[in-house]
Amino acid sequence: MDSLCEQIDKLTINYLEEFGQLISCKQILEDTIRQGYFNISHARVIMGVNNLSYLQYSEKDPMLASTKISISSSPFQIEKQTDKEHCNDTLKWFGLLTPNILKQGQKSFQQTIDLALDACRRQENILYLKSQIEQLLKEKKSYLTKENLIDNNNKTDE
Amino acid sequence: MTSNITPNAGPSLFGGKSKLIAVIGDEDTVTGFLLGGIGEINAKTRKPNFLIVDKNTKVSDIDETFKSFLLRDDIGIILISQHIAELIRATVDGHDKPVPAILEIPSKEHPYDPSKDSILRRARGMFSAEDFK
Repeated sequence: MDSLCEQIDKLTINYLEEFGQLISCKQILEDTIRQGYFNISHARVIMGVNNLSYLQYSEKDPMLASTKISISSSPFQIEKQTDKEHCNDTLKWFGLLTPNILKQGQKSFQQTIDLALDACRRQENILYLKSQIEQLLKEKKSYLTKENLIDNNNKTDE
Repeated sequence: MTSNITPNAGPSLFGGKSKLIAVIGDEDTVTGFLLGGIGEINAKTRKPNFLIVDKNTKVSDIDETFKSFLLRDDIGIILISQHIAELIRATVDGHDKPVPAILEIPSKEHPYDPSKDSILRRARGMFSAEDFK
C-alpha cells in the first residue's frame, strides 16, 4: 500500500511538472506565432495587399510538403522530417525578390512548427500520466474498500 | 530533431511512413504555416491538407473538413485555431485517439485560452477529496 501511494505521489509530481511545462511551451508558441503574424502583416504592407494572399499559393503540380512528421501512437513519438533543400522554397511563391521580413516570418512559423510538435508530445504525455494515476487511484480505492470490509467483519465478530 | 532527406524521383519527397501536418485557420495562419513548408495537395485526390476559414465559411464545411482530416491516414497532426475549434467543439472533443494529434493554436485576433483547450480540459479534474485519504 505504501509503495502504491509512493507511486501515485511520484506520478502526480511528474504530471504537475509536465503540465507546467506545457503551459509555458504554449506561451512561447503564442509569442512566436505572434511574431510570425506581425512579419506577414508587415510584408503585406510592403508588397501590396494582393501580392501576399492565398492566390499566390503555388499552382505547381503537385504542391508538396517539405516539412512532414513521423508519428507513432505507442509509444507516442513525433519526429520532424525536413527536406532541407526545399524547405524554404515556398518563399518563391510570392516573388523572386521578397522582402527580408517575409523571410523572417517564414522562420517564425518554422519555429512555431517545432514548438507545436513539442506541445503535442507534452500533451500526450500528460494524458498518459493521467491515465496511469487514475489506474493507481482505482487500485488504492479498491484496496481501502477491502480493508474496510475486513475491519468491519472483525468488529462484528467481536 | 530533423533529418536531411534527398528527394526521390516520385511524387513524394519522403519514404512511406511520413505524415503531414494539417492546418485550419484564417488566411494569415495558413499562409504562415505554408511558408513553413507543410502545405501539400494530394496528387491523386487533389485534396489539400489545409483550410482557410473566413467570415463566409460555413461551420458545416469546417466540421466536414476536420472530420475528413481525421479519416486520412496521411495526416499526423491537425493544427487548428482555437476560436475555430470552438465552433466545432463537439467534434474536436470527440476525438480521443493519439493520432492524428490535435493542437489548438492562437490566431491574430484571439489569444490562446487554456480553459477552452480540449486536451487541457481532459487532463484536469483528476483528483477528488476521497483520493487524499
